[in-house]
Amino acid sequence: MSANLMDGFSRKAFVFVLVPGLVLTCLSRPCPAKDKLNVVTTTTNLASIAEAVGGNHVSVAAISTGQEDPHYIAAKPSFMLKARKADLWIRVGLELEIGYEGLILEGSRNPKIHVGTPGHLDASQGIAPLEVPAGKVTRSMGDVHPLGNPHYWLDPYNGRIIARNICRRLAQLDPAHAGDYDRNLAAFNLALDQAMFGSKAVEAVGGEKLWKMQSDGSLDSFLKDHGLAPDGWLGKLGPFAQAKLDTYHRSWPYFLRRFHLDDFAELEPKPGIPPGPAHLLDVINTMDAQKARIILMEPFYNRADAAAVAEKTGARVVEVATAVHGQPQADNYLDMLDNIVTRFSAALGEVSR
Amino acid sequence: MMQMRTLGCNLRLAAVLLCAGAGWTGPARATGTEQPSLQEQITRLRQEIQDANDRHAAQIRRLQDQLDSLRQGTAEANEPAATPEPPAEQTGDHGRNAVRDTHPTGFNPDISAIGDVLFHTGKNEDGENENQFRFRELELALGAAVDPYGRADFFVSLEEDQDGEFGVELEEGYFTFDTLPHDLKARAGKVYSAFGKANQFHLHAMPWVNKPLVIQNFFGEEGMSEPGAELSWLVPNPWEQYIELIFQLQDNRNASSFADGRSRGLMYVGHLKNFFDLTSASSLEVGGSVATGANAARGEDHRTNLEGIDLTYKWRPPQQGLYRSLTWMSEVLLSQKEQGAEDPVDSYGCYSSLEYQFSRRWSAFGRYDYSQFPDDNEAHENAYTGGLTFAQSEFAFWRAQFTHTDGGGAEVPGSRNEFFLQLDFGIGPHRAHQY
Repeated sequence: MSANLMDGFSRKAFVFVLVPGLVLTCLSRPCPAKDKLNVVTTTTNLASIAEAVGGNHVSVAAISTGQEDPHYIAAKPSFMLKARKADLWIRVGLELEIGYEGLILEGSRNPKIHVGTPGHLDASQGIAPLEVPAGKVTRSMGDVHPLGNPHYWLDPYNGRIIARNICRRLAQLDPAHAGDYDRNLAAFNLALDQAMFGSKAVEAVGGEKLWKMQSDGSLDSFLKDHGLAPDGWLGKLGPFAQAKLDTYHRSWPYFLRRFHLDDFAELEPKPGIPPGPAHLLDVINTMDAQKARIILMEPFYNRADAAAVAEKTGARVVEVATAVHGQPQADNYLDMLDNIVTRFSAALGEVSR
Repeated sequence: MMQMRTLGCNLRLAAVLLCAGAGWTGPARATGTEQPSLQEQITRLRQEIQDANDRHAAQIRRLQDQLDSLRQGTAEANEPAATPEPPAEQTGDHGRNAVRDTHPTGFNPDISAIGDVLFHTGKNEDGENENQFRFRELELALGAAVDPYGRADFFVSLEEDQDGEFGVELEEGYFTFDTLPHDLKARAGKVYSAFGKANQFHLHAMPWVNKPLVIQNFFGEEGMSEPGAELSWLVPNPWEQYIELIFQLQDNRNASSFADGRSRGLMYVGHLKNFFDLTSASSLEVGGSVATGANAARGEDHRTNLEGIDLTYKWRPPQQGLYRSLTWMSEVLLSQKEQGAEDPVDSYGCYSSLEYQFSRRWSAFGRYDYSQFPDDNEAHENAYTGGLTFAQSEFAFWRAQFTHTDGGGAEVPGSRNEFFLQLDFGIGPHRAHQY
């Protein structure tokens, strides 16, 4: 009896697991020899910068599409598959990926990208985080990040720091092409500087000095003294310095601070908590009192909330992606920032007429 | 900060000097022929004080900006040398990031507690009417890296039984070897048997109040979790698809289908998991499972063999992912259980579940259950379940569920209606479960 049962079971086990397993084993093949470093990033922004710095020597993939909320990415098995072949894993850091990174790294069976190895890079190294909570952090504060606001890539200058971090790590993993990575980094920085300040200013004094002056507030007078008009992103947003606006989520402090803009309220009552009618009413009253006429939001949030506020206040909703491929115009990191500046400055221009 | 204090003092000093200056110049001007009136002088002084205030306020603002800039901008381009360097060039992310990945209290593990409170009204499994609140479970989850070779996770469950007594059980507790070569991963300890999908769900991760009837009838109310060891292999394949082969050796303690600890032999479980990304929004998982082990006391060669198939389709459009998602999950389980000299009992069960999230916080679900019993293939249960889940945040949800069950074991024939209200809430950083 038992022998019959086992025979039956063996056949079924063969059908259910062993046959597919054996077939797959036979079909499996070793990975072909590769001549490029495999880089896998959590976000498309990091992927874009890694592509710019790595050039022809890297193959880059992001686990996200750029359209989703980067806080809520599910640890799909297919992401583990991507991470499995990675030579370098790059994360945003500041606990943005805390909900899924551990599962993906563990599921990847790839020890060389574990935290603490050369194959794992936290791109936030060297960034000065904003909004680091003081004192005890609890969930009553919403989805706060104890290490600081993680949306730092929206400050263009931090794009330089990310690129530098990637460049150094690529050079460490692939010293033979370190020179190429350095050259690519210089080209990326130049393109970023020109987008930020305009070509003439960069040619006149160089990007480093311009960033310095922009930080200490002396840039405007310097440009005036040298007969240079503000250009680039700074030229577009400069006229609206101190403009007041509202945002959906607290994603924008780095961007707004760089361009001297003022975010005084969010549609979310607390980070990650969807707005209710009472809070929206408060926002409407505050926007009216502050004469704020812009609501800045990412496309993955509910536009209906913003539209309801806009209808009561006459504000304009600017829906703009904060990730590469989040909108058709955001093809790479510079285009993503350019898309933000263009849409935002156009809306500011319209409401200030 | 010192500069700001100095500016504040200067501001007050300027105001005093202005007032003193006004007092000193007043009499002299009073002798002139074109002396402004007192009111004009006051107005002018007010204006001068206001101007001084504005100038100093502007200075303070500039200094504040510079201070902020210095705080951030040690990283800025103006002082590249002062920018914090990526630490530990030679060893990766040690240093600052090693600290970042550690809880502020140093080497303490991540500790989470998840409570599950249930109100139940209707007939219970014994056919008795009941209205009851139960603190169904407190799950304590602890997890951390043990050493460079792996991590440990413990899930301790404090459960309240029907009589209100609390008992402690190790739901799972295992060491994961996650640095093995050749795409291997191993776990040792007490783990859920890798048979299908629903058996491995923790209470707080289920899309329903209770596990499907087929799981309850063949593995027990909370599923099958036994001490043992597991080896899994991520199968390389030319299609670049996720294919995982899992093999488990577990103690034979399951009372529903196996030997309830009476056999000296072990239980063997195999699972093949295939995961396909259909689009960026949708995925399909197809799994096959087998399990075998003795079902009687030592010395008796009676076995139970189980086979299962599971299908899971998930849809979550990236841009609308906060507000819309759908999960369809179905499983079939076949059982052959030897019963002494009699023919083996061939029985089976299945379920199919659909969950649709229609707003940021709300989702609706329905499930159909059919299940025979491991020892009885002439009796069966049908159940129809529907309900709503309200996720007040990522860490707490409410769920209302109605279940109509027909049939049952020989002891409890007939049908019953049940209503459940569940509150599930957690604290701590308990990480997400597998997709």
